Amino acid sequence: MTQTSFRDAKNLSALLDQQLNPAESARLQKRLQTEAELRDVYEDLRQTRSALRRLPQRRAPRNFVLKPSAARVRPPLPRSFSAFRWASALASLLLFFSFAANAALPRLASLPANAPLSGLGMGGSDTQAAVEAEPNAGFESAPAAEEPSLKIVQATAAPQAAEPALEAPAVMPPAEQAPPMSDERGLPTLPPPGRAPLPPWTLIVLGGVAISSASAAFLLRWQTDRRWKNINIK
Amino acid sequence: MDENALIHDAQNGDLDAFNRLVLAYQDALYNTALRVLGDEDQAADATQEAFISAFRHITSFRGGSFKAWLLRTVTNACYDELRRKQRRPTVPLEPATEDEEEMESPRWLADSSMTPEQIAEADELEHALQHCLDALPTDFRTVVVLADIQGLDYSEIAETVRSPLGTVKSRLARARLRLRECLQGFRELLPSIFRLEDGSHP
Repeated sequence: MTQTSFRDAKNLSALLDQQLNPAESARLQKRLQTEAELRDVYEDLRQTRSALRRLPQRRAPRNFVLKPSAARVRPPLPRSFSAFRWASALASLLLFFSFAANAALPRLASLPANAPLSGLGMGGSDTQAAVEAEPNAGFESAPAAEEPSLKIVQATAAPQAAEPALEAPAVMPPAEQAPPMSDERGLPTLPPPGRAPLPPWTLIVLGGVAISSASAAFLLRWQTDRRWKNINIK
Repeated sequence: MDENALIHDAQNGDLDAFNRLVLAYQDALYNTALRVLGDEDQAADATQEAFISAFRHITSFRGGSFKAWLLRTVTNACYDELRRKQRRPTVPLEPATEDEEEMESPRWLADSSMTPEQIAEADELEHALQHCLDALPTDFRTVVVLADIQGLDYSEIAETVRSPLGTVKSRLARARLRLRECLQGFRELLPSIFRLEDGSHP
């Protein structure tokens, strides 16, 4: 059978089941009146369908009713069960990470000032510190004859260094009022030592969500199991 | 029987409600499995598996034709059974005798009004049709069983076998053409199948 004739056969099969739209149906019926070959195919399909429809319906050899013990089936749980279960799991996970963050970050902050940043490889502070340390190293290795001039330099520099210290409270806010989120280079800073990054109410809310969702899921399971037992005891 | 109420109760874990649905549909599922698998024992197993699976996943039923949804579960069970059969081909312990004695089993209980002649004729027809159905590829067989034996419409079949409507249409036409070709070989044996009802010609 060619591809075209199969398309006709497909449409004839659909016509037999009244699954063609009215326009297609009318067109095909018009062709059936004039084309004998098409009529034969249609008749073949109709006879085949009739033969299949004449197949007797067998009665099931036994009853397929389910017994919970034999089928080892568990009662189907309501849809809300999975929602509560997921909510509980998610809240527990978030709670865990919150605890971890609150425990770990203050400890990191209590390490020596430059250690965390250099340890994390942030901002090339090592090289800058080395450059800043060089003048001091030069003074220490200088010959003893130059010591008096060094003292003069230190003596004159002391008042200059004291001036910014006196002006600082007027310009900078106190550390307790607004803890800095980043230093002057724009790098993130750790919270002050001993201070948790997440407030306690976050942990309380997460813990509450985790416990209440788990309880709701447990109650749903228990209720379904109890109903299941009652139904099957009847 | 309020089917929707029974489905709702079954979705809430009421096994009794589900078993009432089982009683209503077990013949349809068993017949589908029987025609797809061509073996009574395997058909019974597939039907049981289908009902267990249906109960376990009944919360996933979101409306529409419950019969089509159940037929999908039995179709899947049949495919599983066929895959198992392909992996582990078995030889029956009691092969069929030449005079087909196993056909003497009381399988025509569904219609007790049939005369012995009609039973014999239907028996031959059933054998011929099952033989031709078995010769079809599984996808074609499933579609033609759902359409012509279970009486599902095209959209229900598409939903059941999870295929586009065009594919269903095409498979059904091919299956019918192949069946017709196969049944030509039984023309002498089964003259009655060609004495079909008149009046359906457009």
